[in-house]
Amino acid sequence: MKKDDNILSKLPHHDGMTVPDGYFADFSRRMADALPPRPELAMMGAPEPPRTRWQQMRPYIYLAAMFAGVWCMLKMFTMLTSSSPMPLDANPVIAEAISNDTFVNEYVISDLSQWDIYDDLMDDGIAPDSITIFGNETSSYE
Amino acid sequence: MAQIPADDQQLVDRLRDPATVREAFAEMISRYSEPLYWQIRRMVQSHHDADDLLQNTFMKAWMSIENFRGDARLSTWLYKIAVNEAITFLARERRRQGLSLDDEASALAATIEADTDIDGDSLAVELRKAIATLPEKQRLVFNMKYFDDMKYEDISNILGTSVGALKASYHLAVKKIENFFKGKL
Repeated sequence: MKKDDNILSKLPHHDGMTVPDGYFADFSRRMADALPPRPELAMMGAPEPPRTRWQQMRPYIYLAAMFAGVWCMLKMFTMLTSSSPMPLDANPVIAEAISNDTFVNEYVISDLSQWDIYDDLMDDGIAPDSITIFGNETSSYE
Repeated sequence: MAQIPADDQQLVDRLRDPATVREAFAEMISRYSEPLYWQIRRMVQSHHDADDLLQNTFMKAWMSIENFRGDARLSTWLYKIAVNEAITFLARERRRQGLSLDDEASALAATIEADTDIDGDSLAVELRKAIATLPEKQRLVFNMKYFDDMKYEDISNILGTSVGALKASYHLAVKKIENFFKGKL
């Protein structure tokens, strides 16, 4: 630092800059005149008006609403991700549909291939001719 | 150069009183316009720009005077506004002229050359050019320490930097100035 000080000691401690004569006095006057009025400053330092009941309760109500929102979200999440299947009987439309044999035959098992059923029966040693279809005892398979 | 006024307590009390705030603010302008002006001028170099920025500084202070709680010293609060104004102005000028941080030294040197508000001391002009080559933070620290002889603690409050970092900054700045003048003195 000693060497630095030697160098700095040879340099001026002023920056050589000047301002026009009377600049600072003129600036202070100009600036003070240019300040816009601020009537709201009249309230500066005044005691705050008493808080209304709503203002007092507002943070707690917001907090309660936030917790309720979080609870609803968690509830929805639990319902959506629940692993237990909903029983079919719970839905009256589905319950009525599955109790109707025609519906079950036509829409639920109608896409089963008859050949697959025959194959399975043959594999199990049951001849298709021996099968009696209830309500149609005269039917036979070729 | 003007020094920072030490005792502002009475002025701060009057600034907090709605009945006297405007009058006290006018007094604050008279008290602080000079030290703030030199701080800004040493950053931007041009008298015209420094004048504009000084006006902006006081206008911003006036528009937020109710936010000054007196936790910090009045001088610190004003210096912070002034330094921010100067830094923002320099960044805006760099963008406007498409200059990099490195190019800024050349632009400032050109402003120094063109400056007519000088006392004719050629060594002082060279010193200004040397300071213009410093990075922004080092320039601020060097100006505050070298010309205004401010305490590191006060500079730390204004710039929001630790005293240790400021000392290192000043030391680096001195080294660079020394290199600038190597063989010239």
